Amino acid sequence: MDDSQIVELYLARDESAITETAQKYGARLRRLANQILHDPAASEECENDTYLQAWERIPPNEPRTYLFPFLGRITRHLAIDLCRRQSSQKRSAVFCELTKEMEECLPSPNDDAESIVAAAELQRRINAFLEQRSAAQQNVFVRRYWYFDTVPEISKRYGFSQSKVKMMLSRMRAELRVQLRNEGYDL
Amino acid sequence: MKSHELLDAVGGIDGKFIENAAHRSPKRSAWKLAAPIAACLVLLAGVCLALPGLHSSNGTRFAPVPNPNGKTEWAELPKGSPSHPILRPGDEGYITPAPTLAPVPPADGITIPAIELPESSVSADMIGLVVYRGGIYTEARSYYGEAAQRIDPLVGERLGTATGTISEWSKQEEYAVEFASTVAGDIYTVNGYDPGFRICLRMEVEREDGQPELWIEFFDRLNGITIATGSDVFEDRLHIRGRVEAIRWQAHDDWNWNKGSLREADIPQDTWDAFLDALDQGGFIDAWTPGGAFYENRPGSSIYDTPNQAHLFLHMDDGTVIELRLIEGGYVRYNSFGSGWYFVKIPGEAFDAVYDACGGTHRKDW
Repeated sequence: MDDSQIVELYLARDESAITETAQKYGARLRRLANQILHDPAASEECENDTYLQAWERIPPNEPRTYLFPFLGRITRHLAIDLCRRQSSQKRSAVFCELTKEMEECLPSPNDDAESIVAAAELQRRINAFLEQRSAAQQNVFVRRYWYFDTVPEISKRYGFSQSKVKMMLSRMRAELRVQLRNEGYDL
Repeated sequence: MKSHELLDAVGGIDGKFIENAAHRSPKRSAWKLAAPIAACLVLLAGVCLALPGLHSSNGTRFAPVPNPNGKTEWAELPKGSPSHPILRPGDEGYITPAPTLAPVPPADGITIPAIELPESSVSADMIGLVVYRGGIYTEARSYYGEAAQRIDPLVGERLGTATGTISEWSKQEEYAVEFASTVAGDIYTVNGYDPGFRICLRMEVEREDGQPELWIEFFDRLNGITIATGSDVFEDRLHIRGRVEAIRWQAHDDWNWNKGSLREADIPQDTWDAFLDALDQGGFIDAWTPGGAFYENRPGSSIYDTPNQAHLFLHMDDGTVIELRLIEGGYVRYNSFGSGWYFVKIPGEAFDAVYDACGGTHRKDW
């Protein structure tokens, strides 16, 4: 069933929407959650919560042309949220690693009120940053920070050496940082 | 702002990035799948037709042909084989470029703000940069091995030694010193170029087989300046006119996926001269349209959204290479401009003749 038909089921409040979504995207959503949680049971829980949230959000949303990104964002958010709520001992090493990498993009270590910008504005800046990159760079960045793939996984996926992937990520983090700083994020 | 907020923000990136990254390899449309087959047919035709007489060396044209080992080889095109058709407005098959809502070039030029030194103790700058005379020069292009040997005579007066000490833990005071850098080595002027624009790093590196290899890296300063027309960059700084020995181009998909497949461009001299005239006279625009729409009827679109692009590599008589990015509609970018979205906007006919000769497409299915 194509995405627009699945969305129509949600809009019609037909519960088979959940079944169809799970059949089409369940495995991908579960894998996405497991990439950061490394806990199959918790990942399954995230997947099920994703369906619940999708049910609550469609309508008003009508993600006919972007159903997977729509669902994936929910799963990703749930997984990160769960990770944060875990005690520091239990917290996923992947989450800590990703958070540390993201620190390199920050123009300022300070958390003063002036430096906090609306999330939507920050997303727009990141979109603009990605627009300037080649497709290969975009995919490597997104696989790492959206799908939470490891460097070896990205390396295998695109046929790049691991050192090349690391260098691409490192340079993009540095460039993102410069761009954010130049756009006033160190105020 | 904290790192987790940035990680959260990445979660909200445009769905197209998420979808694209879900595919293991770039999507290939039917005509792209047919391209290798067509290339083989070109080779076959070349073998059949070329025997009576190929072009002379300076008039030879080539076509890329994949061999069974997966590498691309070059096959000479026979004399008289059709060149890439250049369609003009009014010609059958000409597709009018998508209308844009791009800003018009301001009469007094645009000012590119100076890159500022970091104000924090967390920098992590892996981007190549060198601080010289208070300005920040960012990496423009690297040359290794034979390519570096060829431009070695351009290496001029030694200016100093880049410290390479800038690291992720560098503090402000470490940046604010002459020759602070993310790379280490001796810094020189580049003969033929204004040191206020370009300097270089020259060093020998060890190859995997243990042999030394020359490495020269150019650093350009294109920030903290005001530019009005293309000549401010392409003539005053890069001195393009009359120095281009060869032009190679790369299809956008090949560039995007780092596939190689560079091809020789076949551009008549008068066409190239007209392009350069237009480039010199064209005004710069800042193509970044945050929150807007660069292309009409495409909300939120940016100039880079179109697949209708071409990538030119100008091989200069001094051995250097200048990369230009052409985007349908008359936009030309010097591709070592760092993160700035600065393009020269030039008129249609002069642009299209070169764009079409260099694999520029006019697709509407995006």
